[in-house]
Amino acid sequence: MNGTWMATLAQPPATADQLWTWAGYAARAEVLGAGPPCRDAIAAQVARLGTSLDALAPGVTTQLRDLETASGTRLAELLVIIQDAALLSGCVGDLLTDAARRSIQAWTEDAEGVMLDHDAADALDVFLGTSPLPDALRIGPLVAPLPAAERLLAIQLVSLHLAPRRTIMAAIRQTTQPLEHHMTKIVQFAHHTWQQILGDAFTPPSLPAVMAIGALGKSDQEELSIPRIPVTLHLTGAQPFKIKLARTLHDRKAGPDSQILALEITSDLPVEAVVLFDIGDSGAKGDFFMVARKGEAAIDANKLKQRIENDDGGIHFKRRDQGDRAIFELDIINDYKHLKASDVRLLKYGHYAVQFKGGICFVFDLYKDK
Amino acid sequence: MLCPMVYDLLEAAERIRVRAEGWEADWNRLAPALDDAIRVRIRIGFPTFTLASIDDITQELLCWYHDRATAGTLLERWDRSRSVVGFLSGSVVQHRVLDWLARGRHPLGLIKLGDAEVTEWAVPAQEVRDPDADQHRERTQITLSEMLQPPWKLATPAREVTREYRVAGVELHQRLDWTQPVARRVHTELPAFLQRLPADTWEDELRARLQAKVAVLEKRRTAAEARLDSPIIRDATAARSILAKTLFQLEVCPLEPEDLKAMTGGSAANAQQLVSSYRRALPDLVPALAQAWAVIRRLDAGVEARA
Repeated sequence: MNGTWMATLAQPPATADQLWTWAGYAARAEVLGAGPPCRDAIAAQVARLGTSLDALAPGVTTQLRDLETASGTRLAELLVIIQDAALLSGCVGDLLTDAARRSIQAWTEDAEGVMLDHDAADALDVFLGTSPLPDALRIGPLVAPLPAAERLLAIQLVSLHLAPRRTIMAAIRQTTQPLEHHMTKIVQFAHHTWQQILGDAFTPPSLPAVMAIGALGKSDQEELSIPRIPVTLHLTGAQPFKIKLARTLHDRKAGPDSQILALEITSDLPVEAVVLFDIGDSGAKGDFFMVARKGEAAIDANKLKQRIENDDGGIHFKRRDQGDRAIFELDIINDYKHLKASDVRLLKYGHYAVQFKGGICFVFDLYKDK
Repeated sequence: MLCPMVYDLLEAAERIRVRAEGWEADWNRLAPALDDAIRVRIRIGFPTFTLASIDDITQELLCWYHDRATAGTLLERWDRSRSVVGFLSGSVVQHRVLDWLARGRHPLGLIKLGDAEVTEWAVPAQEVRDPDADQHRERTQITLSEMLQPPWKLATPAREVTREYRVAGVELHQRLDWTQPVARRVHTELPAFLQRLPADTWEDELRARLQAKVAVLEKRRTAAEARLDSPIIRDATAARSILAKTLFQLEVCPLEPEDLKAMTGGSAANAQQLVSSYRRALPDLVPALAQAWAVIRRLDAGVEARA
């Protein structure tokens, strides 16, 4: 797989059939700094042979037909063909038609789903030993080849290694450990797709995303006795992102019914809006929860964003800047005179939506334990 | 003669492949069949996964497929001689499960103990070799971190100590329980195995070599960890793969073939073969790893069957 490619590259391709492989080698050599810039050389061979790379792509597709069923060194060979094609597309993309570039993209994506066996992983390690391509230019299976069996164990080792800072649950628990006995149903976070969703949020063209937290429920008594519940989420695997929430129920001296529910948010991202939906819906998890569970956050986040922006059934908090802090307040007396004093407590429960700049939405539920 | 439903799916797939006008309706016909097949595949590979987990993975894969269909890259290599559902629900499903696990959102073998979910990786109930069902509950709480806590014991070999045991003695030198009789037997054979090292100081030299390798791997680990936070998803994904491999090497195979070659005096090919056969035999050599691999073996069966 390795030994003769430089020798092959040294000879111009004799026939059109050999052109694709030769061009791939030329691209690889350039990336490795083992050959001159390949574009002109490939263009010259294309002209000499009177063919085009595009015409050869379907033949490569046929060659790759057994990608899913191949194993061992054969599988490794097919992956190297795809690797070279990916390099080729990078080097001489302008010499290829959209169809050919799409074919290469399809092969590369298919390669992402390949499971390596021991022989294939060994062969790829040998290949990379002699062709140490930069990580950024490697197709998925060549980044760090591991047989499927070893990869699964390795993944678990990563989980153990990063556990304290890796999972949302761990992050929340770490931050709120002193209050943990007040928090229930944290396991519900396990159903959500935080990391994927957060990743999507930073993918151009900036899809909005929902991050849903299941519940931070407490009994009424406990809630009233604990004025602040900070929650810091430090997610890794994507852009560092922190949120600190502090929920406070202020007493206002003006009168017995005067209270302000304030949501204090410290975040890496500027907060644009805070909205409370479904007041008093203390037991229901509502749509947001389901949205997150279904993994359709990107789509439904748009709906949520619209809901926030269109003031559709939500109660908007008012922003009040305090130095570098943003306090979002819900003045119960001034804005919600129709509410009775007994409603104040209920007002704390429901679905909170926080919208950050860039369209990312953070949703969490507060409700009473039953 | 194809049954109408299969024929219908083939037609739908062809229209999706070329993105014929109205292909989205064809996708809507194909997706339910694909959804079922993916779920079955996950259930077979990971019977302890909760429904929510299976939902997550299936949705994720279908979303990816839909994106690819939209871009015209989904069925490039598919031809009508193959079942389109089979084509799209093969080993890629297992791969996506691994990706899903790699992102660390869910522990492997999430199991229920009463009303509470165990949130750490645990051996799925059916993998626990305990005939007493009443004891199951406690046994299922074994976690990976507990399983992999050194010192490790070696499995008793069926006959003599093989070369895989000798390599284990070298690679796992810092992790093995050297008071164990099997380990002691291996230990006595190591000076001859590492014939290029001085007979009286071979162990010190081996330790020094291991420490040097571990230092290199630790640097790689740190670099990979720093990249985990990259805002570029591709970069973060690559970092995760590199970190996984690095941790695996740190744990069970810090030495590389050239190290074995230098210490044993064998050829490069021989050293490569030594490391390779040792890694394949690992679950049989180290019971702690065998337990951790119990699930993996089932997963890997699909891969090995192709070989």
